[in-house]
Amino acid sequence: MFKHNGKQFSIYPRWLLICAIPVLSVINTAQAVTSLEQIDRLSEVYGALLDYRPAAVPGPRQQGQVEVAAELDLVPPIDNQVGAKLEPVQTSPFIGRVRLDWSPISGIRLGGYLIPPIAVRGTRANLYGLQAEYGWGVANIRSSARIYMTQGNVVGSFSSPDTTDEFVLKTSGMDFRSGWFFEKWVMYAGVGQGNNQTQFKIGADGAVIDASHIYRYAIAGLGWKNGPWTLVAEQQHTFNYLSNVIFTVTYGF
Amino acid sequence: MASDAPYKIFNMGSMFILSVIAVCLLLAGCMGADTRGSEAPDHVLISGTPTWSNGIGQLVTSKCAVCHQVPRLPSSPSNVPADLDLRYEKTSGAIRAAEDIVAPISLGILHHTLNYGVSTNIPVQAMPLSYSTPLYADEISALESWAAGVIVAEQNNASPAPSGNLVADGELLFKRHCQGCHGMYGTGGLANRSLRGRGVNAGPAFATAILSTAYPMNGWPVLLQFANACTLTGTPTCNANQLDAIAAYLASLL
Repeated sequence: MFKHNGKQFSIYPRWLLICAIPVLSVINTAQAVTSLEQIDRLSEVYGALLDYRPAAVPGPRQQGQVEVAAELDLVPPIDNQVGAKLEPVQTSPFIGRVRLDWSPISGIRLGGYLIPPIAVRGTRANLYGLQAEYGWGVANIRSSARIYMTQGNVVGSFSSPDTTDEFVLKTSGMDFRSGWFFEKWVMYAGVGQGNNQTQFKIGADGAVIDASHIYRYAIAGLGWKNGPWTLVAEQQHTFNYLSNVIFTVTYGF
Repeated sequence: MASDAPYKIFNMGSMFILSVIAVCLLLAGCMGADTRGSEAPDHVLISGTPTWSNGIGQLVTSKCAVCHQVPRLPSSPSNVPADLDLRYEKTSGAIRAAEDIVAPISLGILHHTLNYGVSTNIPVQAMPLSYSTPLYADEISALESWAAGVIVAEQNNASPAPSGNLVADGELLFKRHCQGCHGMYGTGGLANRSLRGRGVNAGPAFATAILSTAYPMNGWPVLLQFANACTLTGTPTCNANQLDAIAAYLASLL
């Protein structure tokens, strides 16, 4: 508390708090970790990246509507250091998905996706996913609640260039999204929770590393609709370790 | 209408493309993965003679027991020994503890692969594994110094003190010196070298014989005496009384 021009100010708690933030940040990032914690986090990151959360605008669809979509999930830079070793993971710069959705009843949407089993930089994914969504809307505000699951594996040389390893993934989750529609545009956001179970099978010595995680995430997206075409850019943030972006082109008929 | 021409570049199509580019740039800037890959591992600093209570316990617990604990953590590799728990110094029951790793350390497992399993072609990988929490050079030196001290103490018969019960003494000795390779009940362990498969179940006489006389090892043309054979793997040599105790314990398993 001090006086300036006759007025009393109490700045110390505020400045102390502001100054403490970078100090606390340094303390947090300086925490030492074990290799298992690093492996566990990598399983979280890759599990969440391969999770199936379709980037699509929320809201109800008309009965009988079919949507075909192509998704491009950009892969962020990933530090594959584990212990004393930098794992030679040849990460693809993107993950491509093909999606098909159908509305058997107005408001209900069922869908599935497939990652084409094409080897990219020596890595081949055999993953599929399913989802069920219920959408509703009032005026320009439309919302959706959905559940989804993903299952499959990714095969490649992750631990050594000379061996074939396998990353097995099972995920499921649910989320809620709500969007504001104006003219041809829609801005939407949502929150969700998922869980995954992963197995990393190391080809060199047959070791298997299991991991299980529950995670929450937030999404924010921007869509543009023109006739049967819809373009979507969606930011997903999985707390507190992954931020990634998905672009989707959808054709409805 | 020439004056409208400069404004035509801002029609809806162009605006959309510009918007998409702007959104892409904005979103791409929001990508990242906190993998903890660049985090530094703990560094255990030991001053003075390294003992379990002076640094080694902390070091082994924080860096080795991450994988080597019983029961195995789901996140640790599935092929870690099922009977080795490095959170503890002393062997308890059928679960081996840190005192059991002095032999492999003295043989150089912190630097290179060990050919324990010459009969089965199953080498023991160098520790820590390349993808495990690394050890600093001074930590390796401390572990080797500690292991050497333990071996010297045992060779001087300072430990364990005989209880007078041959079987009980033999069990303790077996778990300390033999179980690592031969399994907790002589049925094959780290190196899958079952004593039973080598005729231990032929009877107490054989158990005594195998410990006190020569026996063929891996079909080698030479006969190696037990003590010498096990010295090859770094197991401390036992004296005659200790061999008798181990023989009594093995005989009790039959």
